[in-house]
Amino acid sequence: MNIKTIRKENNLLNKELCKENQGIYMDFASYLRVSNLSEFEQEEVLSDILRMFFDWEKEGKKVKDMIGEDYKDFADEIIYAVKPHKTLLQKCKEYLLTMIEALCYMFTIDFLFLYMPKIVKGNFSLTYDFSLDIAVRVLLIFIVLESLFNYTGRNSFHLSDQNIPKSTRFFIGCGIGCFFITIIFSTILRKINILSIDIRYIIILIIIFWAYKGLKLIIAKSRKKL
Amino acid sequence: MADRSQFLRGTLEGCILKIIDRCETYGYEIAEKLQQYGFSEISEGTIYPLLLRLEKNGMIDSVKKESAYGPKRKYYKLTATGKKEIQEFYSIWCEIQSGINLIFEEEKNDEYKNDKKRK
Repeated sequence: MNIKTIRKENNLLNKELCKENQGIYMDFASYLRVSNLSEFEQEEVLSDILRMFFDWEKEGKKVKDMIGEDYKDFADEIIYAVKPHKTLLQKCKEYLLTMIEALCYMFTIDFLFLYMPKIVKGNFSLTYDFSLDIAVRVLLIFIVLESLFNYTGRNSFHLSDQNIPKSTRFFIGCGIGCFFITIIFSTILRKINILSIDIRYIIILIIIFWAYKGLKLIIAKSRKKL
Repeated sequence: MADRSQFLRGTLEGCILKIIDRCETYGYEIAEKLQQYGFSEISEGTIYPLLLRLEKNGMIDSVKKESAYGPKRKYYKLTATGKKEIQEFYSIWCEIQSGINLIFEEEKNDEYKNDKKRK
């Protein structure tokens, strides 16, 4: 079974738990997502946690009576038991892949809204200008999102005790951060051009990216059917 | 004061291995069996990290089986390394047990002799 199938199954089964346990499960999920566990290990552990929650719920037992009040401590014990060993190289690879993916999304958006209307009008001799403003924007948005993701994950058990829903706080934080970053940097750095590429290369890149995405989706679906 | 959890630390893994050795079983059942043997404070939550560690160290293997409700249940069985580990654990335990018994019995005997002399 692949990671996506287990994740989907876990997310569906989580909804069958009582509200209180759903919240605790989500805290565990957030905490494990920012740990050094591999994606597969995360989903395996989450599936085991779900299994335990289902059994305890059926027996009328509370989670805190079974693992103690300190959920973070329990999660740390699990992580320690699995002994994850993600090397610096693996971490860099993950960050790099996320950055490339973010760039491809940005190219697609820019192409659709800025260049596509011009091409439709018959202007084919276009160059894609990659200004310093775009590079800084991508980098900073990535840093802000990554930091917020890590912060909410590492403090998931503590943040749940407060009143505002975690997801709301997360999106508010992301929104404010990205808004200011975009405004400040776009006006100053827009004029500095790093690279100008023929739009056809960007179109090829976008096609390759989305073809790869589509292929991955088809393979995942065919595996699920098997 | 003697802390039961301190005593249990280190010995619980051996007990879990022995329970799994008897028949293929799952976490909830292992916790129940341990409770029946008098380890009343042990819950499935306590043993889950231990089961993960035992599996990671190749002493047990797991296989997922369909359950009547919820996600699939993980059943554990012992590996050859696990069987070897049980034997080692039990021989170490017997050595410790006999050592402790000797200390305490000798103490008892001394007290008995002293009482006799006084009388």
